[in-house]
This record gives sequence, C-alpha cells and structure tokens, in this order.
Amino acid sequence: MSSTQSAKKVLEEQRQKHWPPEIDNLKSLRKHLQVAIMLEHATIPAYLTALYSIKDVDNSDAGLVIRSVVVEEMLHMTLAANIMNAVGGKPKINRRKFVPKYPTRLPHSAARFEVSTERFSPSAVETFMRIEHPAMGAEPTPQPDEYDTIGQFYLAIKAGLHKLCEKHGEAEVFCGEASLQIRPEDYYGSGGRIIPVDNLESANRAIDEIIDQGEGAFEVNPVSGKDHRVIWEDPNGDIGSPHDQASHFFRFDEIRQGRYYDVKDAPGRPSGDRLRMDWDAVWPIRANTRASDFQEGSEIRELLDGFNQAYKEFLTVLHDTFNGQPGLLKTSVPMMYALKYRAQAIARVPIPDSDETVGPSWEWVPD
Amino acid sequence: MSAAQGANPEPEYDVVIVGAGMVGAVLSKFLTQAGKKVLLLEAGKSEAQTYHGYQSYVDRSYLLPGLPNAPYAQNNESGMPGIPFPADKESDPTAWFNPADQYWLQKGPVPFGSDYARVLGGTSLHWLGIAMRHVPRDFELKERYRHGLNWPLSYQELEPYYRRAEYELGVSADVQEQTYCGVTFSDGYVFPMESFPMTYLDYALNEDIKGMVFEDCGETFPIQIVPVPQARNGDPNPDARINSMVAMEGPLNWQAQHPDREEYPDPPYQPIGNPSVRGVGLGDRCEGNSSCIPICPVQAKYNSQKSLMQAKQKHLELKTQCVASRIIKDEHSELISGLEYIHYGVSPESPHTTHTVTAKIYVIAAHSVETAKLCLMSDVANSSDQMGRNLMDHPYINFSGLYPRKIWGYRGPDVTGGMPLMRDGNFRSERAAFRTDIGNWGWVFPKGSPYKLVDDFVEKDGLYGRKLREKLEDEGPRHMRIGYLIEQLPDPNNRVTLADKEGNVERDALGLPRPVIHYDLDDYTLAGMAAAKKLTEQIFNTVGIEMQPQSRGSGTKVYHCKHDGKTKAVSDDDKDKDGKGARDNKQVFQFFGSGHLIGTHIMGRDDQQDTTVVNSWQQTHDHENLFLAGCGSLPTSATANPSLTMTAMTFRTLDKILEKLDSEQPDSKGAQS
Repeated sequence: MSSTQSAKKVLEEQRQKHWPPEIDNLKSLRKHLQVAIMLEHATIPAYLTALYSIKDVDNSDAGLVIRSVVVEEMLHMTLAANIMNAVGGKPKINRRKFVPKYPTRLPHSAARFEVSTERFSPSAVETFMRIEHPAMGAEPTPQPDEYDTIGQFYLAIKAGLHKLCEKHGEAEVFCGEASLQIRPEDYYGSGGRIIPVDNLESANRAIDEIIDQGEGAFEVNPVSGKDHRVIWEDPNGDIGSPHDQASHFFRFDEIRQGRYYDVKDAPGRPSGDRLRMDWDAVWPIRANTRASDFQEGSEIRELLDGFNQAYKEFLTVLHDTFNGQPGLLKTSVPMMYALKYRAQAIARVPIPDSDETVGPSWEWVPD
Repeated sequence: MSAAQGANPEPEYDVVIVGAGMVGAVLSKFLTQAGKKVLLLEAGKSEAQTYHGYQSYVDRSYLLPGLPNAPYAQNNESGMPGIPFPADKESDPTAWFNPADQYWLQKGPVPFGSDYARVLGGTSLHWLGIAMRHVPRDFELKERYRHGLNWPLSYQELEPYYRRAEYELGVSADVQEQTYCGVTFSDGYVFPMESFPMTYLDYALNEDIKGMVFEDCGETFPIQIVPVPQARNGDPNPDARINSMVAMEGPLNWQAQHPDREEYPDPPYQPIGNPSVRGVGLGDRCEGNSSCIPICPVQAKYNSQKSLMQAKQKHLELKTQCVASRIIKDEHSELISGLEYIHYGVSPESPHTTHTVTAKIYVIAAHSVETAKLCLMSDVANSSDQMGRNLMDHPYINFSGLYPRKIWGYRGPDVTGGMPLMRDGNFRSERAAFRTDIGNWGWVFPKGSPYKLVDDFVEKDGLYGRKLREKLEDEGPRHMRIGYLIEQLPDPNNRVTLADKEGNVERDALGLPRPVIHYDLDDYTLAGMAAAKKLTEQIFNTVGIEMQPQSRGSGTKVYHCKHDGKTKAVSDDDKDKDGKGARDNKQVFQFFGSGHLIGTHIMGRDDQQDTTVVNSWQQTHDHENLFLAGCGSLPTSATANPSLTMTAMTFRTLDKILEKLDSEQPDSKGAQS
C-alpha cells in the first residue's frame, strides 16, 4: 500500500538528519529525550480531538477515561522535560518541527500505523490501543530506534543513562540547573506526581512512572516464575490511591469493550461495571482537518486560524515553562480551557456540502 | 417497641457513625486505616460518590445560582432546610415561618437563616472552604470578658489537632500572616499549601485604606487586609512534611502504614488532586470558577469525599438512604446498646424498612440540628436538659458599594482577603466581635448580580443598546461588598425542639418529628452589628465608595425594640409595625445566616455535666460509648468559620475512640449480660 511506501520514505528522511540511534553520548541522549517529549505530545491532539467530539462529554464514561489518559500524557511530557533539563538539554517546543502533521507516525517508531486527529469511534480507540500497546511476552528489550512500543524506547533511554553515568560519573551526566525542574508546587492535580530529576535514581523513577502508567507494570510472578503484564499501575494500591487505575492500554480496552476491569480480571476479559457511553453521540468531525482546506477569510478558516493561534501561544508558554520559568505552568491552565472551548465550538460547525463538521486542526501557524 | 437483640454479646461493628459529612468521613478514614470495623450511615442519597453524580449536582447548580442547597435535590425522607429567596421582592419575614415551604418549623421571633445538606458529603459540598483557627481568647470568653462560656480546653491543647485538621483538609495559608490576636503555631510549622493568592480587589482596597485605624470602645485597631486560610487546592508548600508537621503516633503514623516506601521517611504533602476514573474525580487546583457555594465544579475545594475515598474499603460499610431513628439505651446500664435506622428506597412507593445495629461505640455526626433531634427523639444524653439548646450562628451583615474605580470583582473564591485583626479585644466585654470579609463576588449575595443587574438597567432605567453596554461596563467592575460574621453568645432559649403533633406539617415522610427552631438575637450581637456598620461607613467614606441601599435578598431586617427589650424582625424600613418611637432607624440591620450551625450539644468539663452535654472529647457525659461530634459541641461561636475547629475536635474524638477500643481488647469483659 502507498501508506507503507510513504512510511519508508519518512523514515529515510529522518535518517538523513543524522539521527544517532545509539545513546552513547550526552548529545545523543538529549536528542532521544527531545523525541520523547515530542512523542508524548504527539498523542495529545489525537486523544483530545476524540474527546472533544463527544457531545455530552461530562456525562460519558468514555470521555472520562480518555481525559484521564490525556492528563497523564501531559505528566509524561513534563517528566521527559525534567529529565532533559537534568542532563543539561533544552526542551524545544515553540517551533514548527515540534508539531506533527496529522495523520502522523509516532516519531522514530517502527511505524506500522498512523495516528489521526479524528472523531471518537471504535477505530480511533483501536489506534489509541496501538499507541499504548505494551510489549507482551518476554521481558521487553530496549529499542533506541524503530521501537515497537513506547516502553521499549524509554528502556533504551534508561539503559543509555546508566551507560553514560558509568562512563562519565553521575555528576557529569546530571549537569542541569536545578531551578529548571518542574516541581510538585508547579504541577499537580493531573495524572499523578511530578518527579524533579537530579540524579540517576530520580530519572529512573520518572521513567518507571511513564512506563507503568502507559503500559502497566511488568512483573515476574514469584511463584510461577512467569512474567506477565499487569492491568493495574499498582496492583496493591488502595481505592483512591494515585495508582488505582488500569494502564492506558487497558483503559482504552475498557472503552472498546464497554466494560471496566475489575481488580481480579484477566487481560482481555473485563467483568466490572458497564461504561456509560454512546458511540453515536459524537460530532461527525472530519479527520485531520487543516486550516488550508478552507478558503482564507471564510468563517471556518477564521475559527481554525484562531484555534491554531491559541495553540501556538499555549506551546510557547509551555516552552518558556520548561526553559527557566516553571511558575508559568499555572498560566497554561486557562489556556488549555480556552483550547477546549474553541475545539468544542469548532466541532459543531458543519462543513458546507458534506455531512461532516470541522475539527480542531492543531497546526503551528507561521507568524 | 423494644430492641429484641439483647442476647448478642459481640457487637457487629467497632464503631457506627451517623452522618457521612466531614466528621463522619474523617473518622471513617482513620478508624478503618487503624483496622477498625466501621458502619457509616447516611440519611441522604449517595450521588456525590460517583463522578457523574457529583457532576449532576454541578449541572443542577446552574439552575438556581447562589442557593447553597440548590444542587442537592430535596427528598421527603431526608428533608433539609432551604432558604426563602425572594430575590426580586422585598424581603418578607413571614416566608420563613410558612411550614409548607420549610423542612423545619421556625418559631422565631427572628428567622434562623442557615441551612445544611443531608446527602452523602453533607454540608462540605456547599461550604465556602474557609478554614481558620479560633484565637486563644475565644476559648476563655467568660473568664476574660464575662460573656458566654469558657471552653473545656485551651487553644494550646487544641493546637496539635488543628495541625492534623489543616493537613487533612489541605489548607492554603501562611504562618506569619495568620499570627495575630494571640494565635501561635508550633516551631517550624508550615501549612500544607502556600498562602492562597488574594485578588486584585483585595490589593486595591488594601492600598486605598493604607494607614487607617478603627477606634472603638477605647481601643485602636489597624485596618489591614490579610489573606484568609482556605481548604482549597493552591500551591503545595515544598517544606510541608506530613510526619513532622502532624506528628501522628501509633497505627496512624504514615511510615507505619507504608513500610514499603522507605525512600520517603517524611513524605512531602500531596494535595488531593488526582483524577480517578471510577470514583469521584478528586479535584484540581482552584480555577476561580466563583461557585464554591453551592458546589465547586472542579473539586478544588475540600469536600468530605476526599477523606472518605482514602478509607480502607474492606473495613468500611457505607449505607446511604438510612435515617437514624433511635439511639437505644441499655436496660441495665448507662451504655448505648444499639441504633435503629429506617431505610428508604429509590421510589417513593418502596417500603421503609427498620433495622437495628450494634457497635462498641456510637458516633452521631449528623450536623447540629439533626444530632440534637435524634438525641431528643431517643431521650438520651439529656440529663442536663441542654440538648438542642444554645443554637448559634454567625449572623451575617453585609454592605454593597460602588467603588470609585474598577476593581474587577466576580472572580475567584468569594473570600480571599479579610480584616481579622479585630477578632479579639477588650471590646468583647461590651459587644460581639466580628470577622470581616472582603467579598470577591460583588453583589451576587445581597442583590443577585450580575444577573439582576441587567434586568434592573433594562426594566427600571429603560436602558438598551450602547447605553446599556456602557452602563454595565462602567458599573459591573466597580461592585464591591464587605461582610461581617458577627459573634453570637450561647443562649439556652435559642434551641431545637421536636414537633410533637402527628400529621404532615409536624412529621416528615418517615413519620419522624420535624425539628423546631427557636431563635433570637441579643443586644451583644446587635451592638457588634452597630460597630461593623460604623467601620464600614469609615472605610466607604475614606475611599469614596458609594453605599448602596439594601432592599433585596433573603436577609431579614432586625432591630432592637426599646419598648419591650426584644429583637424584632421588620419587613420594611419605612413602616414601623410596632408603634412609633419603638425603634431607632439607624439601628436596623439586615442579617443573613452564615451557614454555621453551632451549639445544640455544647461541651464542658467533667464537673459541668449539669450544664453541658459532652466533654472535651465529644463524649457524652451520660453515656460512655456515645459521642456527639460536630459544630454542635462548640460552646461559643466566636468569629471563625467553624469547620476547621470541628475537624480538629474530630481528631481528638478519633484518638479517644481508638484509645477506648484498644483498651477493650477481647481479654476484657464485654457488655453486661
């Protein structure tokens, strides 16, 4: 198919930009961390577009589930930025290259599927599950490039960090300014605890948090010796604890099957309460809407330009937050609300001569 | 009817708690974490337990903005008081006394203007979230000022419990700012969250009153705006460490509960703010939605569900739609031997069923009026004849003004700044103290603005188009409000009694008697109102704020009648229904309730069992295994919003219950045969 061909082409292009697949020096480590930040971000417009296409989103369990994943992706992005700052790199967010063009492949992944900004549907949820797919079977191996799962990419970063610390010593690797770290007083209330990173131990904890929330913890059963993927982030946690949640992959599986997992359930067979949701109560937004699809000066174009401008301003604040002004993170909250309200308003606007509506386009507009 | 269950020697539960509000939730959390088996009974429905249920409250709150109980649907089985809200009529005091409109029956002479919510979560769903400590002399009112009562414990004795309460509710405040009127903190203490930011309006007024002083009763007080402590998610303080600040010993020690987490011997304070898909979304940082009352849409404000979610679920049994109907006293001792409750179904047709449960300890935490009602119905804990008496509130008066410049109200939680430096002084020998709030919500409360504002401009002033817009743009941002919570003294005649007749008016849907409220204000409180008015006039004159007439809202106008020495309610400023010369027009005040139902089972020392109901552990003098926990125990109202002190008292009760349960291990004898 042509999509596979274009995938190869994209990969080839990326290769030509001196992407060092191995993490054997600080520069390469920072490049990988920049990809990690981009990767976390790339999922968010896709999840949010589906979320904001749901009509009565506050009364949809599916909407709640997607929201709970999104806020954790925001946490992961922030954790990745903390690691980047800890190793003396600079997260780069306020630029065109940072923003994917949808449909897109996850950066540097083995890329067997494309991610679209599309309405909430069974196929969208299937894509989400592919994004969050855990490495099944044997203990996952680190993959610094063309990774099969996001977890494997992070394992490669973890391995790289260890290697570099052994080679140069921890102090040389973790050479970043402590004042750049996002701390709990800057960030909370969404998706778990932020971890300031200043050494190998805290970096490991941050990476484990990302992997566990996304794919679930990987455990070796002490009795059977068999390893398995657990559904829950923390199977021993109490109700109401931050880890009383299924991992992203299994949360999307709950939507797909219309039923929650119970604590004792086996993967693939949830037996808990039904999810309150309706596949049809969704605005029929056009997948991967772009502003350039609409004539300049038209009402729809103005709506999209306004959305993109707000999105750009938001990313700019986020960039400044991660580059020396952690206190700014607070001001991004009303900006996210503004994006939400704009996206929800856009999703109701019919596209002339079609049975679709416009979707938020998530583009970096030139100045 | 007799409780046919005397044969069972082993009680079913360690503790049964009536009321799933703040007290019930905090007790349930820590008792179950200590491994105790708890039954929690809630009269109302369980909506707040799920995200969707909570969200349905939020949705409903939009229909009737401003009313505290608006989102919490009335049901006949767990009735709750409402507040007449003749927002577009002149305030009519007779509306308060119409039994057909009210869950409770008001006998006056002055209407009681506060309410409470009888649903899971209780009044914590609609409280404003102000969490300030009492000042030390509040505990010694009688000794210092010859008014009211002394508490059976001192500020210093309650201080460690205040710390625990502040960490449980997640209070945003700063130690330095809150050190006034003799309030002290233990060395190195920090609140769990940083001082909650004040609004632009607070800063603007503070700037304009710089250097002002208030002279009253021969004393001089600096007028200064200070941030108000909030049980509301703000910025966590990085120095806040749970163990060293709260210093809990024994089974409740954090480390003892989390032996696997060695990396955090003293964990940083973590705000309750993680969304949970299954349960209630536990809340974000405050976003300034300006709807704390009736409900916080993002759960930044503490509500009791945050504590209840952390209970060890395997030790907790929660039963909703279960109305406690009788506390059963043992036939052979002064102990309580059982609790009877009525369960009602979802549909009005489903039958009511009556059940009896037994426990080692019984805690009634059903809010001041309901707790007193249940005890009166059961004829327990009332050897002092003080049950239901000493009902207090903070009568609330407020003044609306038009500021000379734009101060941009209608944003943030209602109260972020206040003038607390006048909460105590020698004047308390002569008049009530008060706490001053600078309102952020403009004229919402007294006048129903901004909604009403447009109506007025259109209907009364005939404005439209550009003129209307200009008027709105000019005036809306200049709205300001200053409010006073006035101290009220305990008075045995202000009380809750039971309606004693049969029939619809006197009984609720379960056939239980409705509470009857007898309420009055005394000269001490009215003199406090007069001082508050004087202070307002001084501030308004200095700054150039135009005082607005107070003609709308649910408040009641009261005055002191020289003729018979009583406080009277009036329906209209211009008509004096009690005869000429009976009142001084300058001393008419429009007051509201503060939602602070205090008293009804006040506490006292062990040697005061003839005049008080519970001891300083909220244990009844009469029955060793019966505790009445809540604001009803507070012997005076002082000037602090009472929920923080109530929570501190709850921790004392918790310690006492744990001590009692642990001293009654299986080896010791159970109840009498």
